[in-house]
Amino acid sequence: MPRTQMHTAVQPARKRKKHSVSYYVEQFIFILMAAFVLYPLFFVLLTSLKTNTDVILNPFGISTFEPMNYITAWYTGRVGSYLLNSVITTLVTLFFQMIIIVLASYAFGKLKPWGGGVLFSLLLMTMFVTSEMTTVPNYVTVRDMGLMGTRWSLIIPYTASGLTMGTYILTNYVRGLPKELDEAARIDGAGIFKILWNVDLPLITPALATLVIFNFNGVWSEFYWALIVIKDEALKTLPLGLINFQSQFTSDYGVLTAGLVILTVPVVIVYLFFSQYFIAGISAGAVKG
Amino acid sequence: MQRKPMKLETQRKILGYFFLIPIVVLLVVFMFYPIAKSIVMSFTNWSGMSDDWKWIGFNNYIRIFTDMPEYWRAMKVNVIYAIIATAVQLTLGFIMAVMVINMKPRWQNFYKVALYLPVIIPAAAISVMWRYIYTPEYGLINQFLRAIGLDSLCRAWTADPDTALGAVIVTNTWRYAGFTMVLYYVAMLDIPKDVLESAQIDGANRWQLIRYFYLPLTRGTTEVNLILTITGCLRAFDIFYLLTAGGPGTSTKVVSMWIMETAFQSYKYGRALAMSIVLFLIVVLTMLLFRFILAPREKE
Repeated sequence: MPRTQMHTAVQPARKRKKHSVSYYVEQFIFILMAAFVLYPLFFVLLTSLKTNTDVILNPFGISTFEPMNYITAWYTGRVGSYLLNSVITTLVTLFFQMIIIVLASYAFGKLKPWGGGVLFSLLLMTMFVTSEMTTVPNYVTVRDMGLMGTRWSLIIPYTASGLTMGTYILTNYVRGLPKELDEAARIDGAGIFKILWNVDLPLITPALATLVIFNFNGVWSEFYWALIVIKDEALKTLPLGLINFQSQFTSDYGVLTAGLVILTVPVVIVYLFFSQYFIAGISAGAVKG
Repeated sequence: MQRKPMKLETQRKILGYFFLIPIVVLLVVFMFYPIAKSIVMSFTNWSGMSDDWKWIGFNNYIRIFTDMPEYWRAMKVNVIYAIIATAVQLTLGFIMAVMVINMKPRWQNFYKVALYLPVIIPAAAISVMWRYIYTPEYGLINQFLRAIGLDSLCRAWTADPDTALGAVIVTNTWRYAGFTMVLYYVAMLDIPKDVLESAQIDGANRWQLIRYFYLPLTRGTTEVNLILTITGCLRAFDIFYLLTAGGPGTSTKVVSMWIMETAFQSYKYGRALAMSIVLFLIVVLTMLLFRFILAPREKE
């Protein structure tokens, strides 16, 4: 696994004393593009702190400060409950996913049972399956298991859906780990679980961090499956809840955007926190294959 | 390396099977079984609600190809969407990557994190945000147009058949351009710096660098980006469902919306499965087609 790619590129030594006109044009275009990306986010944040009159009269600035929007969103809009559901669902899913992925990658990358290679390729094939193919039968499976109306109707299928890509990435990492450490630990009399826990787990932490953020994002944002299986208001996750919320506060832009901010902030925090791993993960072959 | 005792090796292999139990069980139940079942049940008239169904052969498929103009109308929306969105997204993503990679490291870090931000924002949040931006009365765009005196251009962006698809494309570009950019950026990190530098010393300008280095040397990434974006567009659901709900009328109704309606509102699971499989095959064929078109020249 090429770890070197994780680091920022060395800047091409290119010192210009005088910038040409085209340089400034380029910079201007780029700032415009960056503004196109970032301004809507800023706009939403700004709107979430304004009174509705201010939203209408003064769309681009801010002359009032209305933190009450957040309180209304939290209680009247039930965002608190949606948030809690999203947090529980996401954490439990990630917990199961990571255990299963670590075990599987360790088996594929280190223990190498007979037929492991064939099984590995077989599992990889599921990466190309579209959700349309599995949604309907999974709905029936989950219903027949009696999971409808419980959180497990989300957690179990979510856990299954994030496994293949994760196992693929982590197996590649595990294969690249130095064998000498294992050998040394084994000679010192450490058992397999001890080696896994004390020697290898610390080594795969960066890769695991990448997976956490990939999968966190997937589960936290998931909408299609939740829309189909969750009918109970008390179990709705944030993405789903926000749709209700939208019809409830159609023209109350302050509250609506406050709900948006609450939905978005956790993902942004996790992303910023792990962002160096995230970009690294992409370069480490997540998508480059 | 010394030879390990056979017994320990065998033990490890057997333990390997135990480690694989959870993943195999979950994938069999939620991936392999549903795929098999999808294929089988697409040949039945199953409603999904009862266990009462019978074989109807290829009827579901025949119907899709002969008597389901709405499916193909939706497919047309998907295809137009895929072509425009992919072209815009790849162009923008590539340009941004070239610009970011030539910045000082600190700015590189800032932009690659900032421009990727929309990718991680949940679709539900994106759609609510953009619906608000597109709102006729108080939305950002119309407010802006009024502020610069172009009132005549104001319209209900997502409710006007002429602009609804365009509105979705703009939102989609906003959402994913950063993704395309990061993939290109990562590929460009692999281009040896001394090659670029010596080209510059030889007097190559920016466009020549792009033409002869950045573009050809990121060909593999272009392929990945093309395939990911096009197949993503053909399967698109959330952003359409949330932004326009297929409207106005059925002008932005995409295939996966029809599938969902057929399955969960009309309770025609068998038919919905056949529709899914046709879509799946179209997606896979598109993917293979692009691999085929793009692959041979990669071996230069």
